[in-house]
Amino acid sequence: MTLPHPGPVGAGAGLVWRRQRLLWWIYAVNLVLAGLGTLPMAMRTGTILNHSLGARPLVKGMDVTVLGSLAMHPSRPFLAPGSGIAAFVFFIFMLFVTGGVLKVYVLDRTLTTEEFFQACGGFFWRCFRLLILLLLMLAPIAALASALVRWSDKLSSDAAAAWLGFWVEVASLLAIGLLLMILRLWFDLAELHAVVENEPAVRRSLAAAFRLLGRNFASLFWLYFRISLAAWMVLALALGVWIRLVPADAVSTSFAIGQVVALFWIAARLWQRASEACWYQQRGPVPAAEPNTFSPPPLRPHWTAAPSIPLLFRRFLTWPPR
Amino acid sequence: MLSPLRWIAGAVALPLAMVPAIGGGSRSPAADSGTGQPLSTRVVHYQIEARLDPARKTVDAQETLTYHNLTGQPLDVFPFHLYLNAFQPTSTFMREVRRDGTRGTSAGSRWDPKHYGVIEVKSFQVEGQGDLTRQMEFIHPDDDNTDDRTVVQVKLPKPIPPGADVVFRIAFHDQLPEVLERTGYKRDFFMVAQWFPKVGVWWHGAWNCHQFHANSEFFADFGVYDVKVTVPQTYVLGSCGDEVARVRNPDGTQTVAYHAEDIHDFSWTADPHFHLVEDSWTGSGGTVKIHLLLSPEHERQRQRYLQVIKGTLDRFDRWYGPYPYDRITLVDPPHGAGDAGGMEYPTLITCGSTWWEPKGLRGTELVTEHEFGHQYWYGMVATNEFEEAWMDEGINSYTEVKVLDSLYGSGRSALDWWGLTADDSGTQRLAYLSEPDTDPLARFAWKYLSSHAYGAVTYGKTATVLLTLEGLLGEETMRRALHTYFMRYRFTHPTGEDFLKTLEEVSGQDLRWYYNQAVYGTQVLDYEVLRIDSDRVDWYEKNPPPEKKGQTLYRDLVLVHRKGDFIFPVDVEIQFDNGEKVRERWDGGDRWVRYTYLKKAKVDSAEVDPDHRVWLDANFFNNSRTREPDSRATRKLATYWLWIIQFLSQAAAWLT
Repeated sequence: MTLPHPGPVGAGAGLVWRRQRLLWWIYAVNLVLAGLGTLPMAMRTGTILNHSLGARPLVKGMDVTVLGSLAMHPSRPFLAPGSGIAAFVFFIFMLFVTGGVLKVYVLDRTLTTEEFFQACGGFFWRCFRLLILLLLMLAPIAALASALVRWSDKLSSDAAAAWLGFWVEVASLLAIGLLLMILRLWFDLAELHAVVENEPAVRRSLAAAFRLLGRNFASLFWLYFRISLAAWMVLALALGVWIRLVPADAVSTSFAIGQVVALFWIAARLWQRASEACWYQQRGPVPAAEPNTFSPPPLRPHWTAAPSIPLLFRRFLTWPPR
Repeated sequence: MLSPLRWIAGAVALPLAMVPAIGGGSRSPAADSGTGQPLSTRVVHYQIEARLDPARKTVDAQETLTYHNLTGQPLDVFPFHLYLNAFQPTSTFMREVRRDGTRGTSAGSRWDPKHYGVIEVKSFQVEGQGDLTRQMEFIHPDDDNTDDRTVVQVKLPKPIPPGADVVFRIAFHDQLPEVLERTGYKRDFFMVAQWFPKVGVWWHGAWNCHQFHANSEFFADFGVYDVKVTVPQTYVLGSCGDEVARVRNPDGTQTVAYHAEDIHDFSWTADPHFHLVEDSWTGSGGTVKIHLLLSPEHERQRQRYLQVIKGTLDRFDRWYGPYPYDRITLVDPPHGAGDAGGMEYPTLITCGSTWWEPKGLRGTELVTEHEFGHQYWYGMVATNEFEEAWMDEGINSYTEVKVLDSLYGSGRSALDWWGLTADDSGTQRLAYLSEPDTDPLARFAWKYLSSHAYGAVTYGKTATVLLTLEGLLGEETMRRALHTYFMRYRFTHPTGEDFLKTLEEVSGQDLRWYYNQAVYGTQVLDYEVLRIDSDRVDWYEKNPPPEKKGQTLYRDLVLVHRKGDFIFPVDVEIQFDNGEKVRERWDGGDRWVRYTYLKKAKVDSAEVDPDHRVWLDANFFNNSRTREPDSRATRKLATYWLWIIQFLSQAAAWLT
């Protein structure tokens, strides 16, 4: 009996599941970096709070005025260096591993450490150049967003209908969100093109991705949008649960919920990448062979039935690749 | 507007504790009604006939001002405020806004022609002395700005003898700005305030008539206002005082006449879209009609307005004294007209809300309570807002804390939303913490370091100073003192010293040491527990017996340090690990104090101000020290922080 082929989103999910070591490693890096970034703030805060009875209002609840006075403490605990650095390092890390991640998803197999980092290094500058181009593309969108916000502010103040400005702002935000998603999707495809076709010229990758996106906009956007929506829904659900059900002093539960969301958000981003890879291989140009670098991809379609969880677990235990 | 019956009712209902402390200086409403005397010394009588042109955003008016010379000396010079002239690019007001910003406008803002406002005196006649329009001269008593036109002065050919009246007949034309600094229009909403030539106040032997400043409010004499306003018939009107007549004119306009007594300013509002909500509240002074002029988009906030105004009326009536007027009008400015909101006029306040504001965000309640509070601290106790802004804003912020705590619960009176809480006292203290040492309370409003410092000190720091004083004197004494102050000085122009002396008188304490630091000084109050320690008495023995709870003898030590320059007596509570608590009282005179105890118990914790009464302490966290660390708060904050960084990292990584 043959299983029906799942769509790219389902196939992407399977791919993320099969190659979940990527997810765990990225999550671990995210967590560790954030942990390191939190450390200076936690140390400063600890110096102020750990031996103070004045910390109690923060344990059983979240008194904003106590939090405010902590923020205004001369040692400025929330301005401790580290947080921004952690975010920046994670950003660079993700930029670096994008090529490797895409290679894993395109090939749907576990790469050796050497292969993985070779792919990361090999595609880094392409990804970097694409990032620069993306930032350039973001500039007009930022200008548009700014103009829309100014317009909606003006409407909020001047229009006869009180709600007009608000709804214009909501519509503007949605429009900007849509534009950002399309832009990201375009650049995702360009990165994918660069990896699959081993295309050194990013302009050619961008052009190919643009054509691909133009011809298949609905299906590609729907693919990207569904996963984004899932991520936001999980965030909203988690916040709802956290605010309504979790006691203010249940730090471990808060931590667990926060980490589930963080993990799911990384998973969602990888899911988008994997789904795009599946879609690309199913509908896009045929990937070029890379006999000198990597072993050929498996013969079976990579989004067929996923290996069993124990097998995945064993594979996970064998990572990082030997 | 103020019937004798209501006056008597107010007198009867005055708490019995109208207390000896009130003393001979206080005015008894019963005595007033018995003698038929007005509530205030009525220095002025304004009769104004005004016509609004909604299309041109202008008001044309005829003003007749009768001024009673009660100064005890002949007067031949009269200064007038022309506040609307502040809304011109060369005014002192705009200079200061440009330099420091002010409410609703940030520093460095560009000049917007829509904000142009002017009050143009077309003719100025003095009964029996002719047309003096050409004698008018702009003066600038506060600075060197010759372009400022917010104060005009007229010298009369013949002085007005003491006890005599002088009648001024003034024709003027207002161009209203788009809503700015409490005043103006937005679409077809009009808040017409500070709109007529208003004579200065003869005070302490001289005219007190300051220019309009970015950070100053107002000062005027009590009197009677008879104002007729003509607007299109489609407009819903509201104003200070009571409506006494309404005439529909053949030209499609309506003329509404208002009468108000014993007030010192008059403003009015008009908007064809207002929903008029009528309600009432009955207190010790009788029934007060509540008129809420609600913008339609804020309809869902209707009950919030009514609930908070009634609760506030009730608390003020019970705690500080009767509300003697028979009306309070609440104006809810429409969207985009926020700068007209949050302002007080006698018997009329402008509030502020949004259509989306959830209940836990108490902005609507806070603004409404605050502005109503000004009916007492500004409206009736009419302090000089130019020179002693802390007297109205600060005392009012203190009573705001008390009323909101009473209405919504301490700890969540300012915010109670999605697990986030804040009390109003805490928010006042945060404002103080943002400018703890830049300016004393007692300073002219435009002489603060900045617009922010003006706000932080006059509102936040003053409220915190008074909360700390309450901690020292007790809540009941403080309430009695404010009651006495209100009853004694309502319908007069007291000074800061009058207030401070009343506090001393009612409390029976010499508080000058406190005033010198908190009101006239800029010292910062900060105490810390520097060290706690428990040292075995037999520390020197080579092989001491193992420590045993309840048996080993310790020399316990607690070291308390006064970090700031502000000297304030504090309690220090020491808790031992056998459950015993010891309270010490330290006058704070020295820089530090050491407490030592010989006990079979270790010190668990020490805390300065264990009852949390010293709100002025700039750092609550160092007020205590525990032997054992408790990292729960740190872990909690770190957990949230960690997640925020993870989320932001991922958001940044979305770009890659």
